[in-house]
Amino acid sequence: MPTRGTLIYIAQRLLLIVFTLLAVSFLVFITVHSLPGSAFESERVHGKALQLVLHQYGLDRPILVQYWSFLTSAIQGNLGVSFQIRGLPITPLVMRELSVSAELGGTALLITIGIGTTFGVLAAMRQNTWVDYTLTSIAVVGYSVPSFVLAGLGELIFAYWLPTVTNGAIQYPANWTGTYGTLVELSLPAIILGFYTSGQVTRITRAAMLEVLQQDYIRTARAKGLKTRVVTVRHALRNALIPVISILGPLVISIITGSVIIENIFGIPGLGKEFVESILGADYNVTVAVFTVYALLIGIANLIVDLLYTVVDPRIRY
Amino acid sequence: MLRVNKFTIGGIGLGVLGLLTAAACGSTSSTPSTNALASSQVLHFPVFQDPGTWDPGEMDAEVDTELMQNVFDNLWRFDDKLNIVPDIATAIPTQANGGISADGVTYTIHLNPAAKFSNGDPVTSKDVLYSWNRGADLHGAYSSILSAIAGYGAVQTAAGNPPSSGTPTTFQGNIEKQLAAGNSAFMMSGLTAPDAETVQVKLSSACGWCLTAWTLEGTVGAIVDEKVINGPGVDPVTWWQTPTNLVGTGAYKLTAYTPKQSLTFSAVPNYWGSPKPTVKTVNIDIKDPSAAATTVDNFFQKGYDIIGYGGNSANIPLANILAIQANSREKPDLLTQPKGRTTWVSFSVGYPTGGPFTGESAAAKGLRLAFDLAIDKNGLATTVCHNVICSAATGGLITTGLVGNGGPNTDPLAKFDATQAKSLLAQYDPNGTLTKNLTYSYNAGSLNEGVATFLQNEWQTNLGVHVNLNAVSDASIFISNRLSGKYQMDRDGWQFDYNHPQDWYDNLWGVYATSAGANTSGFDDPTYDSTLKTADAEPLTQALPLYNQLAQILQSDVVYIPLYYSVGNFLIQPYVSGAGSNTAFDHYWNEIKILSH
Amino acid sequence: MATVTTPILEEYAGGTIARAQVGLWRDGFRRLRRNRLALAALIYLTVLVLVAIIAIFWTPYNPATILPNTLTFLGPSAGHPLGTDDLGRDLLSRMMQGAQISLIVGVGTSAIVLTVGVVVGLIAGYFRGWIDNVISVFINIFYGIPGILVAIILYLILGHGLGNIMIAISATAWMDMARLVRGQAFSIREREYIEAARASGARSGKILFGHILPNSLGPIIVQATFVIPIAILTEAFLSYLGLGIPSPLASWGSIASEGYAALPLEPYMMLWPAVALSLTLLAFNFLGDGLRDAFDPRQRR
Repeated sequence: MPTRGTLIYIAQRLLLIVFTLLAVSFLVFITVHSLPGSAFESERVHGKALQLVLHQYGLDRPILVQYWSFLTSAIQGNLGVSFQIRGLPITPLVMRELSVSAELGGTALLITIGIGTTFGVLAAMRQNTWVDYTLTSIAVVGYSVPSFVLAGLGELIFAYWLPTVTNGAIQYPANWTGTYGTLVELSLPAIILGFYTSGQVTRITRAAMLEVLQQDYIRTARAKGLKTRVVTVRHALRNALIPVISILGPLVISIITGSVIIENIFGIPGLGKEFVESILGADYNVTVAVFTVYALLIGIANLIVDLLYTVVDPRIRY
Repeated sequence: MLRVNKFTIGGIGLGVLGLLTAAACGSTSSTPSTNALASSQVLHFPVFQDPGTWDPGEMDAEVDTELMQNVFDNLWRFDDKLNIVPDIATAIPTQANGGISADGVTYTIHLNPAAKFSNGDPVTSKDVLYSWNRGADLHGAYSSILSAIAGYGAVQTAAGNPPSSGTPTTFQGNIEKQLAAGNSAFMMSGLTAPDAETVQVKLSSACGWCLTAWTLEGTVGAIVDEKVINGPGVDPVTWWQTPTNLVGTGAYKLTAYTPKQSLTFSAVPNYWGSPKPTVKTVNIDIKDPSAAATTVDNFFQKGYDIIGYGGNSANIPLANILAIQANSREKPDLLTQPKGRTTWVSFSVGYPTGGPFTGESAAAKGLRLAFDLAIDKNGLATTVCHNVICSAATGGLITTGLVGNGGPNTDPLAKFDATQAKSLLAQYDPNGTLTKNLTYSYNAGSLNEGVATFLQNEWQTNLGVHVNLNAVSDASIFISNRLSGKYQMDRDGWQFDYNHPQDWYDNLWGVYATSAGANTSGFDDPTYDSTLKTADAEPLTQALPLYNQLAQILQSDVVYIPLYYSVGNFLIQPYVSGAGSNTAFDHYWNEIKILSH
Repeated sequence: MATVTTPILEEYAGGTIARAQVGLWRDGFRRLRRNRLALAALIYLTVLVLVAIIAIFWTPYNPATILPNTLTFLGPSAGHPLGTDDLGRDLLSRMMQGAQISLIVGVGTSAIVLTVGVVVGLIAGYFRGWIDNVISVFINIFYGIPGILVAIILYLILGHGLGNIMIAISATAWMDMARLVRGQAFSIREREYIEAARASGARSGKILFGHILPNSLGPIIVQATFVIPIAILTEAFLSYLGLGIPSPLASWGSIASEGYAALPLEPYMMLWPAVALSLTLLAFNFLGDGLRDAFDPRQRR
């Protein structure tokens, strides 16, 4: 049963999300529509013909009127139509791309948490040994080496230097064939994306573990003769995971940002690729839609993480 | 890695007959021992651009016309040598067979009674009238193909003023409503149907290029089914997005479409024309251009049957082509074919923004010539294109292999003469003040990037002039700047639509282009305009010398720096017969057979 | 988590802070010297800066010049230690120029972020009231919007150019800095010596830049250091997308992008920028960590 305070907090946060969406969509809408050129203009479409197409798509109206009509239909779930593929409704397209990005991002998040917590726990258990140093260094390498560099190295190794090892079965960048990636197609991009953020998790887990391992109840447990492994899993790890949840928000943002890059490198048909494609193709309705969806996604992710935190750590009240 | 926008292409590909079987055979590495057909007749290939629209009234992009020529037909079509042959019409109208009147302004066209849409509807003269009137009304990219028909201007005026109130207020919706209501203001007066199988076209004046232009597939000349577009619940703007609505008279129909992902076409059962389709299913993956290298890998692992369909954007990356050429196992699958596309540098001749290049003064012309002669065109083809993806443009604006090309080394602007360039510069800009801070603009893209760097090097080395480079990421902004003359020198080009010089001279510097604010360099010359007008009215043989005069006018005025002709590279599996390329680099799927392998 | 510095600071008022600061810095540098990773990073970065400076005056070849008679896609050789690219340009020269570009973008962006973030943060944290409300609401609204998306849009609007890249990346990056400085200003403002200074009639400007700023310098420097690798990475990615610095300037990102395309012919072309970028980002991150441990003890884990 959520407390009154929690409900007020949620209401405030939802209000902030609404403000964010309004502000972001307005700014992006005004900005992209102020760019010269349009997806319709070509060497054969100009002058009167161009004017008529712009009229067809309502682009000859004052910019504020255009934004207002975008806003009113967006509230009903209609994000407008594409210019690049003339008249194609954007909402189903963006929803599909969102689910593709979610597949990639979700897998990457699992990989991040998996790698990060394992490394963090191991490093803490073997504090100040070569294990600790190696694992913490890998963590820094993870968020230092650019993902497109890792992608290129992946292609170099698997497709050019070791094609016989993989017998051509694994191709990099994987040729994403359907809407959703298969395990093989998904593996490299998700690992690269997950590896990038796993460094933060490693650090946090390690620090938290070290702190927890100093606590009285762990000492007591050990003193009672419980095995180290049991102590670690049953007591220490559970408490050490709380801080991980606290950085889940920034983590999700990192993965979303990273996915923009990864999708473009691996040709994954998600939101990030659509964003770059739409802005370079002057498909501005799509640009605004994708940007707004990103803003919504981040707002909601942050809210969920904050609420999750109150569940995991009952000391926290809003 | 970025998408290639349709307007970087210049125009679109012709609807031309598939390939010389000979060319395809030449591309086979291990010719299958038997010519027996494979049990599975499925053709699988990637394209690298999303569709823009498949409405023939509006189509503009090469990838769309290349796909849609298999779905829609015109009254005629081009064979593999770009000759006009009958399609829905029974004959090529000539004065000898009575198809063209003695004064050259009235065409009488008989339709093939067997012609049927893929949904079974017969094709009648009413469909032709509807399709062409609609094409004129819509003001689409290729509506000017119909511009010589009497009443064209009037319907464009009528359709170009959509009502501001009532329903529908949208431009396209209004056109469909008026056409359905039989409003004659929306119908060209020169277009009539004496009976269900005859169409009469009356021109406002004689036209030497019209028949060629009307034959251009995938554009306004294509015949659509009025009953479908005006059917209940069908949106006049987005009707083509639903596979069941995309009804034409071609050998294939669309069966599935997932935007930005895939397309599936299947052969039309009981197709009325010939040859009857052998390939039953065509699966197309819509890929990002950045995935081109991966698709090449896929090709050699037998994932794809062909790479190179879908026009300009289907280019195989240069490094991959060079690697394939160096690989004896892969090389036989590579087919190299000149494309009908020329790239040049435009000077902003007629716009005040052109700086020292603007105008017709001796100094402006002299400086233009200096900047032209300073470029080693053969060096560009060697260094930037590795003589693989382009060849030096030395035969004039119109590409090798097309009518109007002057032949090798006939364009005086194609010369490379650093000494003369330097002396011209010294003569017209002795202090170097005029040529300070010049900018060359281009739309971002790896080939354009290489060309720009090469040009900058040449101007620096041979003239001692530093030219800034301005890469424009957003191709629509680039084209907008070009059409409004916001440049000094910029990358320019044209891809032929149909094999007629009018396609180049009218669309680039003609009266129509100038009046529409689309004159590519702002070059406006009364002699050019009057010569063009005379040439356009004459049959090709009489018109050709006149068109060549136009080329000379442009050359003596130094309106452009010729750079290169594009060369297309295709990968075709040895077991795919009947696919290939000609100058129009497109293919009809019903000519293709998958041999057993 | 207790800090060594706070009690000292609270003992002194006004003018004597400077001495405590000296102690703090000396202390920090001592800690930094003991951090071997950070030290190695510092040495690598010094070399990189030297390379970038040398590249102003000398590169083996002109990085933009298409070399006549030189074969393209050349592997490493004596004449071209790193090989040549698709246009026959010398890759070592281009990599040297790339170092220059990366450092300019990294440090330049960091400087913009520092200036904007510090000024906005100080104003919000010191004056509070409606100014703080406006700034805080603004930051809360835009916080978390992926910077890369904003940078892409802004860069398209501003047009190609080195300065524009920095502005485009700073557009979101300053908010982290402003939040940090605001927080610092908030807490330091409450200290007794600030109260004392205010009571003795010191002007706001003097308090802000004479007291509050010097006392938050540690975390600010750490934060500014972390902006550098983010900026370098973003520039490289933009260049990789073809949205980067204008041709013919070479950037590690654009070389990587060209190298990616040249992979079937010349795998090394992609390797050089990959290694350079990785090492540089690694170095800045190690340095940042080291600086944090040394100068911002409260953040230590």
